[in-house]
Amino acid sequence: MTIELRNVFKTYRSQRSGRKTVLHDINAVFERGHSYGILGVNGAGKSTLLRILSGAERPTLGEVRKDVSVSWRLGFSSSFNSSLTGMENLRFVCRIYNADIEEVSDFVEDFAEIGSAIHEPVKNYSSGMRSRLAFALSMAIRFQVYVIDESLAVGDFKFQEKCKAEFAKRREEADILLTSHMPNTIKEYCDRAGVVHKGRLEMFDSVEEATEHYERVTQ
Amino acid sequence: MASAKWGRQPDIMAKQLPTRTGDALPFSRDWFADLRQCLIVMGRVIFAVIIRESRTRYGNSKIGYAWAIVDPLVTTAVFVTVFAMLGRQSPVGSPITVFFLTGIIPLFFWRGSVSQAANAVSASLGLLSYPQVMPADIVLARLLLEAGTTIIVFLLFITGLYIVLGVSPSWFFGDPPQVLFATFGVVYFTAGCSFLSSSLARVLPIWKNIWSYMSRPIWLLSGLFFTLEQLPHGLRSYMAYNPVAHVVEWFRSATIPTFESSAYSIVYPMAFATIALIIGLVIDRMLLLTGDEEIVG
Repeated sequence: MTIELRNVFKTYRSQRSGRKTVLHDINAVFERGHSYGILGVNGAGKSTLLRILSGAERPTLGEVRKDVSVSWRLGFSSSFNSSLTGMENLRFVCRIYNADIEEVSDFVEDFAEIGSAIHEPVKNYSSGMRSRLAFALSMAIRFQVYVIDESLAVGDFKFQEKCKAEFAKRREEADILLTSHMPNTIKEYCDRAGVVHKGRLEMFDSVEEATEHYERVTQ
Repeated sequence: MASAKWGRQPDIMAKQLPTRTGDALPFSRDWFADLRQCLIVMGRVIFAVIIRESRTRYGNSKIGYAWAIVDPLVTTAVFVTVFAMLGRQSPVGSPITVFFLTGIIPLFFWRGSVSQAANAVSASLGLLSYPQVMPADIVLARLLLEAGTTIIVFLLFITGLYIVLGVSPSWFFGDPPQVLFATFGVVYFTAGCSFLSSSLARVLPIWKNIWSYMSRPIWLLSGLFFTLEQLPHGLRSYMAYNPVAHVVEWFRSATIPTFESSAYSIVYPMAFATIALIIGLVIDRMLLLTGDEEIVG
């Protein structure tokens, strides 16, 4: 047992359009030792599901149980405070995850390749620099499950290669939860998959079965 | 397996493998172990947020946190100087500066904290995407930072007044255990109001506007320039509905050796704070359970 979703519903309220239920009665178990892909077209509820899995949001109804450490969405940098420097943001993350600041900053300085900019306020960063910092930080904290929305890699081509290589190294200890609308991406990294369609999730034991189902429902 | 009890994942630490099994029964050994783990995580988060807030409060300023002390220091100094120069007689038998300072310090703290709390969640949505960071942590961190700052400012003033005007520091410590008790009272009262303010701001966006209007007269009506005791009875009975005035009167009675008011109640502001705290926490919990929060990213 790694992450278990029980009867998870997610409803958003908006003043203009009223209530909108994005996820309907999701039941799923994501087991340790397997990497899962989640297929779905845009607007099917993939990202919402991922935010709930990573703990960034809570379900409206239902329960999420986990006994592993789950990363924030890869490359997600909105949680950085833009008036603080990269290093100050890094220290904050280390403090809340009880990680060794020196160890993490050594890794990040080496991996993110942003040089002395790490001592600059984050608001001066380009979006590429931000996501490189966020990516390096999530690698340095060493999560057991990495949550990835659409793209495994961030930054330019060279950095993307580096991200993929780092992931390959981690496969022994870390699992992946990856969303995509392209079955091929999922085939590359995952051994199990699910399909989100109109807010409902169906899980399959193999990526092939999931792909077949995905193609059937989206046609 | 860790459940989301307390609304917090007990074993969020990336490095540590989870050890717990099953859902612990209330007050069992596992339950206490979970609770302890949650409190450790909470302490870590609050500490991290305090450091972060102290850097960002005056983000664009080079002197950073120092400004958090200089700002109330200057404002208070201006108030005290003007008030002293008007040649008003202190109604409590102490130097006028002592009378004024013992009123403005708790009021500054209270108003500052409640305002900070109203913005706590909306200013920290990015932070709340970390699953171990809870809205209450941010409110509490801001409150503690504000309390720490206020105490530093207060001590600086006591020292300053002694050096510049020769006002003996003993004017501020009439009855030390009572000073401690009253300080606790001020902090508890402020905590209750802060939690209510934070929760109201999350469900009623207009609360921030209401508060900014409300906090101005309450400033004048809470005994900065007078004591409840010296008011005529008719007026006093209206003023007595304002719990802030009770807190200020209590704080002055404890600190100023020559003043002991009979016009304040300890029970009233403490009951007010407790009810505010409960309402604030209930709203917070309801928002957490339904996941009905603002979203980021």
